[in-house]
Amino acid sequence: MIDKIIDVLKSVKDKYLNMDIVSARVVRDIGFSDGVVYLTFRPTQYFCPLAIVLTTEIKKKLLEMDEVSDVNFKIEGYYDPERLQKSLAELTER
Amino acid sequence: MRQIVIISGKGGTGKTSIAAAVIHTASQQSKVVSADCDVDASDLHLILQPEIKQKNVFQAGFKAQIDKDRCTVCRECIKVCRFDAIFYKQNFCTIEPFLCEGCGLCQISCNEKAITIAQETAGEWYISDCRYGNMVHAMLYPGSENSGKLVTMVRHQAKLISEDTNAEYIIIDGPPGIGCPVIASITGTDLALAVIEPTVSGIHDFERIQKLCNHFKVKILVCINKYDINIDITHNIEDYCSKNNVPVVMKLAFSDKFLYSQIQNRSIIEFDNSYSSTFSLLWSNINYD
Repeated sequence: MIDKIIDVLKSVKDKYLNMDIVSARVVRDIGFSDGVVYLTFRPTQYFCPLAIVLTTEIKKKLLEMDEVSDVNFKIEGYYDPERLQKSLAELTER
Repeated sequence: MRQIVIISGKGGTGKTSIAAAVIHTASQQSKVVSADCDVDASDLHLILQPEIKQKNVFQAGFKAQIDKDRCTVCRECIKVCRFDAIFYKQNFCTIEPFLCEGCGLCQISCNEKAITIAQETAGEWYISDCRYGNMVHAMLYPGSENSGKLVTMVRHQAKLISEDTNAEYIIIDGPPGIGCPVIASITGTDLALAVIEPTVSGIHDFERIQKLCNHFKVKILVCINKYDINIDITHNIEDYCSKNNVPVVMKLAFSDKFLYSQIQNRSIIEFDNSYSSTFSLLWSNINYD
């Protein structure tokens, strides 16, 4: 399952670096339990302008997988992790 | 892992010489990754003499390209280009890549679909070994843009290497000015060491970089380089720093030894060991903060 999740994550590209987020190690510590994907998201820059866009794309793509019911992000190295978590929570509510 | 960036505001104040000496001093006590983020005019490699282990292409930005076989030379693209980047030359429409901004208006205007917008190769970045440990550096091609993105790539790779090798410090040789590459160099760092020279433009540009560091909440320390070339301005810098609670941690007198050490591809400490104690003291101050 982890391999399948990694393949999906590889389709998300950090357009700032022009690299996929797995190769760029923007996502790491990927886990899966009871339908929930756990991952650590650390953008390339402290004030990364793409952080919300990237996390949204990650969550949307993972939720498209039949086995995945939710995605749990741990945010590191970003100036406003609360705001990012809030925007991700709003995405689930929608 | 701590990230320390050496910046100046004004160019030519001695950033790279001091960065090399700081890297030399730090590497005697700790594991260090060096990052040259002055990608528009990188020169730390001249002193550190890295051996390139991995060379990578940096693609950023877009440029228009004309397929001459499809082009009917209607010149519609020349009319719409707001950057005067397309010329009629030797019976063809030709794009001047230095002027093209990759906006894509010419592509829209071309009924023959002869114009494509292709991603531009803007530079290269390298992972290297040098005598002080790992080094990440880059080269932006002449006239290319997106230096901030290339700085982000250099810093990101340096961060990954520091994690893989358990390096305690990333020491960044930053670019001059206050623009995009400088912002990309200082954000998220633990400390900025500003190298100032006592000239009118030196103090003016320092005031600007100090405000930039304040904006991004990066703590700043000051080194006055060549302080003896204008004692009055050196006093002005010290007064300014005192009023703004910016510690002056080092003052270096002008010496042509810096020039000769660079010619020999050596840090100033390797060239003249009497500088060792000065930079050890500076390193203690950096660590204290």
